[in-house]
Amino acid sequence: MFVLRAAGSTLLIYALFNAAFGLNRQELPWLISAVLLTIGGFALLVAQPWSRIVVLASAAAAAAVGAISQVRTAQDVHVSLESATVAWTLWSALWLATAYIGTKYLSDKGVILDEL
Amino acid sequence: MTSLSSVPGAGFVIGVARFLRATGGSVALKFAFVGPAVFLLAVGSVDLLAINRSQDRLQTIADGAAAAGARAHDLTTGAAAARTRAAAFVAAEMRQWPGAPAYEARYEIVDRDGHPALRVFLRGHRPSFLANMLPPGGWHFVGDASATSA
Repeated sequence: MFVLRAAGSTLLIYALFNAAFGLNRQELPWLISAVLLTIGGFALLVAQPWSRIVVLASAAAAAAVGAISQVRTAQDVHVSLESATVAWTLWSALWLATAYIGTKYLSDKGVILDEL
Repeated sequence: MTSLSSVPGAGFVIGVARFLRATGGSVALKFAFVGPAVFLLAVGSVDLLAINRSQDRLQTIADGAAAAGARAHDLTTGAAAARTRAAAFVAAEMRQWPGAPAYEARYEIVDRDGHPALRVFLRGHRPSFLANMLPPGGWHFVGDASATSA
């Protein structure tokens, strides 16, 4: 249960950061990505049969949706689009990996498989 | 007949073979996954805390500047002097702030409930983490305050 709780909590922290980006720049897609990560984090914490698909789908959707704000803000402030894309890829890869590792410890019936 | 261990370099080869066959170290592998995430989250947390503190301090400066300008001069007749007083207050506070953020200031006389009020609007800017890329261009925060003459 430790890995699930740790991964779920980490996803919620990522959601907090994305919400901070969205509120600071008044960008809706960042806020949507924060909501998606919150859903994924809670899905991991409750460990239900549907958790795996919800966690992976919400994490992937959050990465895609957040990229819209990242690119738009980079254009607004005349920052290199390539650098902004690389930064977002690195950032979203971290929560995608967290979601993946978290779901590895879920069975199809929502029961935890292995412990750390 | 010589044993394998007596051949020069055999120890190294045996060591490499043992390393390739090794299946332990799962904790190290997990740490390799989790370590960068924890590091980045820690850096980001420090960044968010610094922004929060900067926001609070900028608001305090705006409050003080508006009060200083409005109390020192009658805003009906001495609006320009009040603005100058507020600007001097902001400049002095920023000089005393180690690592102060870049800022733009606006001082204007506005109407508040039929009375003239001095409004101080400060817009601060700090670079963000990951080479100023999250969010791109850095963080923006504002301090906004207005005060009327007593």
